[in-house]
Amino acid sequence: MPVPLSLEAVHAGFPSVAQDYFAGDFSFDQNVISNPDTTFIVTVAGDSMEGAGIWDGDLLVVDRSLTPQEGDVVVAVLDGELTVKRLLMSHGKPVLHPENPAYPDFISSDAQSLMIWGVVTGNFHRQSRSHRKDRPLPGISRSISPQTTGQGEESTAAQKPRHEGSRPERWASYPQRGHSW
Amino acid sequence: MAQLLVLADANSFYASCEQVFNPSLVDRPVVVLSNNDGCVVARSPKAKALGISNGTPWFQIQEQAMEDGVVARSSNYELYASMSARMMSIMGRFLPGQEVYSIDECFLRSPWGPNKTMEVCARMREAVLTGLGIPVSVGIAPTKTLAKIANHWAKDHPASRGVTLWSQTEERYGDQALASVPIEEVWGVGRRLTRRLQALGLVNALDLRQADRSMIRHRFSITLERTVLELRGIDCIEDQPDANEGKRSGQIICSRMFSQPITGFDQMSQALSVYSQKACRRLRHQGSLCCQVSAFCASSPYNTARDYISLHRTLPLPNPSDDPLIICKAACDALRDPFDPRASYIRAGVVLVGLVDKGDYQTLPGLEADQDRHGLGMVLDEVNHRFGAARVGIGYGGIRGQGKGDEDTGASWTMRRELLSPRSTTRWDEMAVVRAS
Repeated sequence: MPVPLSLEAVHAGFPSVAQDYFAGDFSFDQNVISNPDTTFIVTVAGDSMEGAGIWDGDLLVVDRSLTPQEGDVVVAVLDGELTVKRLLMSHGKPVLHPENPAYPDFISSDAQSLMIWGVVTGNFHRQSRSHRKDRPLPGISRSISPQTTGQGEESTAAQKPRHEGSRPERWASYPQRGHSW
Repeated sequence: MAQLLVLADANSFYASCEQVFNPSLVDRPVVVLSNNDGCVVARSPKAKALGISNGTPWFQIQEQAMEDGVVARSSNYELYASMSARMMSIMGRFLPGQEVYSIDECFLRSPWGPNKTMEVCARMREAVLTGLGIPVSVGIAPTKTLAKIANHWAKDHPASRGVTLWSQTEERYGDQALASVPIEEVWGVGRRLTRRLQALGLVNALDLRQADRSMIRHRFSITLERTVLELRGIDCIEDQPDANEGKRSGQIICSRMFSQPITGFDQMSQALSVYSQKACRRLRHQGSLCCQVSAFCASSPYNTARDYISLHRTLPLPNPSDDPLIICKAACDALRDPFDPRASYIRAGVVLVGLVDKGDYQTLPGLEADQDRHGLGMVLDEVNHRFGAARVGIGYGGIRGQGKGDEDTGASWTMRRELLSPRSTTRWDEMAVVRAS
């Protein structure tokens, strides 16, 4: 039988008080998706929405349960395809507006109502390149360990052990335990 | 006032799922094909209108269908399951007592009177239609059997706007409403019963409702007597809440037809190892161990040139186990001796029997079950879930083919799914694309 793992290490020192406060890191999904049942992730092809910060290859979070409002970025059905545009109203008629001057607006005809597939609630744009070289750049530090000037990288490891007989000078000004004050 | 039962059922569910991410299919005849692209298993309304019936072999109608502009799709079960889970979750928030009855239908219980129930169901239907793009029909009645009938009514009568309250329909049409339902369409009346009932002159739902219940009990069964009572508005078919939990089954079967016949034990053990792995996964999910492993294979019964061969052998395991290595080995060993290498086989399968609950099986230390204590099964599942099916596997189970249609393994015999649509909700590399151009 597999031995169940204990959540707290009971024998070694004090139990961690922090345990009571920790129920996992926050979830990106939970934060950006309010209606998981009706939310779909789709990907963008094309540059017609760059003005809205939506680039080719971005991921869009689309919630189908939201009622489209003027100004929303929406996924609409045009010619049997899913298209991302900004929804505007002009003279009481819906207009699909690309956020790129190179593309024309789409104004729906009176005959047929515009089919809106869903409302875009956000997009994810990948910043870092996929093929990284991971070569460290000069002049960049990756930790906030105490800076020791004029010494090499070994300095951190070679620092004085913390618990030594004499108390460091800078502690002197603090009140000490057992001191009556 | 009796409690109202609600049956919500998606219209042409598989075909509707295909249309969600591909709006060009809306208003076109769409058919979904079974495993190996064999038969039609679902049709969009336009395809129904063309007169294509379920179960028709695709090759028989392919030519004509292409001419008629019919779009055929392989069964995309991954997509359907994802859409089904979303749909059930949405509907479960509108009414209590949800009982998921199949991939595309569920029963619910309304705590309210007829008018409020109608209103809530209309909102529920709207939420699924806008939120997922899946049309559902809703039947409301005092019993499950009548709710089924009301649901069919809603599907057949567009004026109902997808929601039918049976008492309203009966008020308007009187006995005609039930009389218009052929007896074979009554829930719980199978094909065999239909013939026997028709012989007694019971040809529609009204006849069955008016039949003498003790005669029905004596000549048929208590189950059919319950159907009679249900048609009279007496709720007597209990919920099966287990359907929600994914009930533990007493045996696990994993079996498929091959896309082309296979010969030789090498290929057979390859198939058996893939099926064993799948069966183990289900075993682990329901928290069971199995005591016996059964394997079978058969040649085509239609091939008259050769003798029909059907092999089936069961091996007991030394100890109850859920270890994929042990189970896979047992499945292969079961068929090794009786195997005829000259025959060509068209199907095979693995059955896990003698299932015991993992928690119930306790013995003295040192005599434990051969459980998967290395967690191998879980690792296999996790790797395949994360990196795609058949990336790793036992033996030949890990040889991966190219492309979606042949993704289970690289073997020549795996399911043919040439017309598979993207699995837009479960695979990052098959996400739907929206145009910005």
